[in-house]
This record gives sequence, C-alpha cells and structure tokens, in this order.
Amino acid sequence: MKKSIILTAVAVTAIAGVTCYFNSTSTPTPNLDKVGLANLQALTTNESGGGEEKGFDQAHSDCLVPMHIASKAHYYGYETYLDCNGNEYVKKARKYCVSGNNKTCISTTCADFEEEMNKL
Amino acid sequence: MSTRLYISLYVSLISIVLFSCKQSDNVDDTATLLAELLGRELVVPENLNFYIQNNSIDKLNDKCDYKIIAFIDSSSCTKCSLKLQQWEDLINELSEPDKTEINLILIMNPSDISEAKYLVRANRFPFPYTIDNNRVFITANNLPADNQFNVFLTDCDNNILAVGNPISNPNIKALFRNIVSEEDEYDNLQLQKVVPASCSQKSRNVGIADSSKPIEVKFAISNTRDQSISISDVITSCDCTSALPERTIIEPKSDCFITIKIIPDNNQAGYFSQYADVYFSGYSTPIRLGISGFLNKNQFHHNSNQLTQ
Repeated sequence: MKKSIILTAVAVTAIAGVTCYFNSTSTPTPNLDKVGLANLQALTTNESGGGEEKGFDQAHSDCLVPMHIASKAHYYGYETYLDCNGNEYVKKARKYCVSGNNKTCISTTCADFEEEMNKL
Repeated sequence: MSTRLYISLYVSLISIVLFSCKQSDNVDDTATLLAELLGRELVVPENLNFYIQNNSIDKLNDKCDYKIIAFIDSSSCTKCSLKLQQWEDLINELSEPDKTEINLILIMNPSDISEAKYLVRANRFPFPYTIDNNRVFITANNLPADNQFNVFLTDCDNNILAVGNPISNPNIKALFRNIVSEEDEYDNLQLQKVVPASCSQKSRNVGIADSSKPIEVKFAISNTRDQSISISDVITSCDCTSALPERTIIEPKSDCFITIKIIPDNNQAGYFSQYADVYFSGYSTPIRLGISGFLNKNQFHHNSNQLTQ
C-alpha cells in the first residue's frame, strides 16, 4: 500500500515536472531587441511593487471590508491595512483589512462587523 | 513513515513543482504582450474629434519625429489622472536637446467631461486632446485594460516604439528619452528588481480628516542593502499630493523620513486614497507609501491631521 502511494506520488510529480519543463521551453520568451528588453524591465516594475503589498495584506487579514468601513473602523480604534495592487483600475477595487480589536472583529463575522460599522 | 506523512510530502513536492512553473508567468505575459505591441501601427479612429483648448481641429499634425499617444482613463479622479502640466513639461524636456519634434496626442476618458475641459483651459494645455468615454481608441487597437499598456511612444506613422506611461514611471521616461535622443545607452537602463528599502507600515489610514486642512503623514523608510541607496524620483498619484524626503542618499541600515502631504479640495468629502512611489537609482521597483481615509467637510473628530509612522 505504502509503496504504491510513493510510486504514484513520484510518478505524478515527475509528470508535472516534465510538463512544466516542456511548457516553459515550448513557449519561449518572445524575441525582444534591446529596446524591447529595456521596455520590459521598466514595465514589470510596478507589478512587482504591487505584489509585495499583497503579501503584507495576507499576513494581517482578519476582515476584508470596503474603504468607507475601514475609515470608520480606524476612527473607532481598529488597526487597518491597505491592500494595494498598483494599477489605478485595481485601486478602485481596493479593500481594507481590519484587525486589532478582537472583541468585535474575531467574535463576529466580517459581514456582521460591516453592518455594525455602518450603523455607527 | 505513516501514510499521512507520505501524503504531506507528496503535496509539498507537487506544490514546489507547480509554484516554480507559475513563477515566471507574469513577466512572460508582459513580454508576450509587449512583443505583440512593439512595431504595431496604432489607429487613431476618425470619429474622435480633437481639440486644442476650445478649438476643434480637422487634422492632427503629421509632421514630427515622434509621437506620444496616451489614453488616460481618469474615471476615478479627473484632476489626479490627467496631470496636464506634467505632460507639457515632459514634451518640453524630451524635445529640448536637439529640437526633436514630438507630438503629444491625449485621448481622455474622464468621469467629468466639463472638469476635464476646464482643466485643459486653465492649464492652457497646448496639445491636441479628445474625449473618448466609449473607449473607442482602446477597442479599435484591441488594447489591454491595464493602463500601463495604454501610453505609447511611436514614430510619426504611429508605429509603436515603446510602451508605458512616462509620467507615472521614471524608468519609462528614461527609456523614451533614450529613444528620442538616439543615445543607444540601453545598458544604463539595467535595473535590479529588488526593493532596496522597507517601511514597517507602508499604508496608513488616517481615519476621518478635515477637508479644509492639509493631511501630513511621515513615513520612515529603511535601507535594507549593504551599500548606500539614492532616491531618484518620487511619483505621486495626484497633483494634490506631494512627497518630501528629508534627504536623497540613505546609508546602509539607516532610515530616512519622507513626508507625504495631501492638500484636499475644500469641497471634497468622502473616501480618498493617494500614494507616492519612491524610486531608487539602479532599482526598478519602487516602494509605495499610501494614505487613505475619509474626508469630512465639518471636522469634528481629530484635532490634527498630522500623523507619524
């Protein structure tokens, strides 16, 4: 039984690895000249900047709430964190993660928390 | 070993394989998109009516060395996104060294058309612009929604030479400068991708703030490298936002304070969110410092809008 599990695991991993290898080699990075490469490097700048913020948010997330709820929550003493993805169109969809006061945020659902904040 | 352990090992193994597979997708997607765009001829739809200030113009100027064709989606904040003075300064800067003629064509998608037209008049904006609320330009050219792929440096026949917004990204500005000056110094544009600085809390929510008072937040950023780093540029999300570093050189393992100041519109009320991207010489990735909150016309909560982080 154990032997077959090991063999299956190794086989599936090997298939995944080989598929991954062939995918990465069969779809090569497009040919870009030196201007294109410089352009690529400059463009990818903001993407990585955004990614870094994402991790920050995940590390602290308790409740994800809309912006106006976060503003109110901040006033009422909750710690707030901004999830920022860089692009402006993403910015419109920004959400805030509210944490800090365990009494309200953890003991109720996030929806309840939003409702409470809306009442204030 | 137990079956559970085998399964955990297997899941870890397959996760590692799949994660390493996925890692380069973002860059590859950008490269593929860029390869598709570079060299392509952009179409400026004929049904877009262009103006210079209040005057309608029949035909865009075809005589030039280069063009910058920019589609600016300012549906969230017209004043913040247009940055008309900065566009004018950019064209003057790029044109200056050897009198290269660069035409700017601004295609706007503003949330408030009358405000956009007012800003054009108030800034005496000298370049042709059009209002494109139906995103005709984007559709005609089959362009992606990501706004960093909506601004182009082209030759005079609208063939794309470079992609990106030079107003919001100093590295793109450097690239445009290199192309128009024909300096062929692309090796100088090689940048490290790491962020050389950190900030313990990069985003601050100031809660409820008074719209009649400036909002100031001080951020401390730390140099995480073994050598000194130098702040090369700070790009803010809005003309209403300014950022003042206390110095530009940050020694290894030391801190530097950057004060970000937002001057709200007196009539503005509601939620706001602004940021400043701090760029460092030789590094491609900025550190983003953000301020958000709720503007209230009748301040009754905070005595001061000043915060330090």
